[in-house]
Amino acid sequence: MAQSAAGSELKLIKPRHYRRWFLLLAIVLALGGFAIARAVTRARLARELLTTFPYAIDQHPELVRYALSVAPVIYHANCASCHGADMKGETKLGAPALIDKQTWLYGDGSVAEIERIILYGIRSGNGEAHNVTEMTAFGITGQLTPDEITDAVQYLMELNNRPYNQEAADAGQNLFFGKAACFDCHGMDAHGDTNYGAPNLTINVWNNGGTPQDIYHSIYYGVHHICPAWYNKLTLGQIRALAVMLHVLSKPTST
Amino acid sequence: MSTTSKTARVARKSSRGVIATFVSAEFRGVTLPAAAAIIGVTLAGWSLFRASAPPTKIVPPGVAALVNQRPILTSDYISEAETEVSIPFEQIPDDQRAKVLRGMIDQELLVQRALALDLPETTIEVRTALADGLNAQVDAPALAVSPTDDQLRAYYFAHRAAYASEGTMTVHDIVLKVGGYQNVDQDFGQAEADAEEAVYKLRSGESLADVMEHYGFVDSGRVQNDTEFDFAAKIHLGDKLYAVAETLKDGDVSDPVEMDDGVHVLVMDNRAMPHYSDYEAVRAQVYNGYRDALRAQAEAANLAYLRANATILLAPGMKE
Repeated sequence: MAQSAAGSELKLIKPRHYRRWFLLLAIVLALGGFAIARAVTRARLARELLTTFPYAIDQHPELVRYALSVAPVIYHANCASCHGADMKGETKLGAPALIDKQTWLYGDGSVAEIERIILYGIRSGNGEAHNVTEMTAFGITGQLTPDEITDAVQYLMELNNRPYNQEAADAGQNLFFGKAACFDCHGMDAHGDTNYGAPNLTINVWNNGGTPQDIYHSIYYGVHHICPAWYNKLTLGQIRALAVMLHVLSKPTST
Repeated sequence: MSTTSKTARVARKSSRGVIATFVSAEFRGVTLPAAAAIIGVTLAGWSLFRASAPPTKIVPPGVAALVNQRPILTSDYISEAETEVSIPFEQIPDDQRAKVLRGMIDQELLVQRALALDLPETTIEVRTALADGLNAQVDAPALAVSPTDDQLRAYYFAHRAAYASEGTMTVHDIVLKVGGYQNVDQDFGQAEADAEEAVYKLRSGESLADVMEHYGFVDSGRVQNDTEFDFAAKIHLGDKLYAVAETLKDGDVSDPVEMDDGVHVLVMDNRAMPHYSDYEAVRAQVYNGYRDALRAQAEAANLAYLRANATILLAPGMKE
C-alpha cells in the first residue's frame, strides 16, 4: 500500500514542475549570492575605511558613502542624546552643533581631529583628551561684577552685528582686552582658538545659547561641559565612520 | 564463493538496510537533526580541546602596529607624528614617520617591560601616576557641574573656618604634675583642689610666677609662651587643651583641665581671634573649594565602590 502511494506521488511531479523548482532555486541562489557579495564588499569597505589614512578618505567616495551608510545608526545610539537627533546641538547641555559649517571648537574639523575627540573626549579625564581649558566662571567667582558682565555681553552683541548699547559695549571691549583678559583664549580678533576649544565669538554661533541672557549666564557661571571618551565603548571602525560622517556634514561647502 | 566475499555481501546488505531505515519516511524527521547535532557536538568538542590559536600575525585595521599583540592606534600615531614634527601628517616624510613609529614601538616595549617587572607595584611614581590618572577620569563629571550662587553661599557658611584669617594667641600652659619625680606623692584629687585655688588666685590678680611657686606648678613645655598662630598652638597643646584655649580672651584663666600628666591651667596673655572673611571677598576660593569638595566626593564614592567589590584581607593585628 505504501509503495503504491509513493508511486502515485511520484507520478504527480511532472517535468513542468521541475522548471518552477529550478526557477525558485535560481532566485534563492541569486539572492544568496547578492547577499554574500554585499557582505564581502562591506567588510572590505569597513577594513579600507580604517586602513586609509584619515586625510585621504575624502578622495575615496566609496569609503565616504560607506561611512555615511553606517554612521547614522551609531550616532543615534550614542551621540544624539546630547547633540540632538538633527545634530544641531543642545544649548541646555552645552553640546555644540556638529553640522556647523563655520567652526569646530577643537581642531580643524578634519577626520583625524574629529576621530581623536570621539576616541578620547573633551575634559573626560583621559590623558589624551582635551583637558586643559575651560571657560572661567567670571561672575560666580567674583572676578567680574554683574554690571561688568552685562557690558561684556553688549560688546559681544556689537561683535556679532546685533543690537547693542554703545556705551556698555565700549566698557565691555575694555574688559575684553583688560580686566577679564578674554583675548587670551578667544584671540585679539575674538575669532577663537581651536587649540584650546575657545569658540569664535564673531559668527553668532553660541553653544550655550545666544540670547543676551544665555551669554550672560555663560560668562557668569563659566562653561565646563564634558564629552566622554568613546575608546573601548565603540569600535575603531564605528569611531572612524562617525568621524567621516561629521567631517562630511560639517565641512564648508565650496562656493 | 569464498567466506570473505559472502561476509562482505551480508555486511553491504545490512548497511544498506540501516541507511534505508534511517532515510525511510518515519525516521526522516529525526535523521537530519540528529546528524546536525552530532556534527555540532563534534565541532564544539574540537574547538574546546584543541590547542589555543596562535597569536595573530595580522595587524587589525585602525592599528598602526601590534607590539606583542598590544595595539598602537593609527590615530595616536598620526597625532604623535604631527606633535613631534609640527606639520600635517600628510606632509611628513616617510623617514620621519618611520622614526616616530619606531619611537612609539620602543615606548610600548618599555611599558610592557615595566608591567612585566610590576612597576605599578614597586615604583611610587608609577603608582601615583596611575592613581592620579584614574582619579582624573572619576573627577571629570563632577567638575562639569556649575554651582549656583545659593549652593556656593551654603558651602561657604558650612566651611567658614576655611575662609578665616588665622588667629594668634600668647598662652601659658602650667601643670601640677601628678606622680613622677616632680610630685611623687601628689594625687589627682589633691592636685584638682590645689589647681582650683590657684585659678582663684590668678583670677584675683596674683602673679603667675607666685602662684606657680606656691602650688608647685611647672611650665608644661608644650607652648613657647610667645605669640603663635592658632594652628601651631593647636599642634602644641593638643586638641583637648586647644579647645579650652581658643575660648579664652586676653587675661583669661582657664578652669583646671585634667590630663594624663596632671592638672593643667591655661593663662591667656593675648588673643587675636580669627577674622572670618566676607563671602564676597572670597568667592573665588569658595568656588574652588566647592569644586574640590565635589572632586573629593567623586573620588570617595569611587573608592567605596572599589572597596565594596574588592576582597581585602588584613593580617592579624593590622588596622586601617
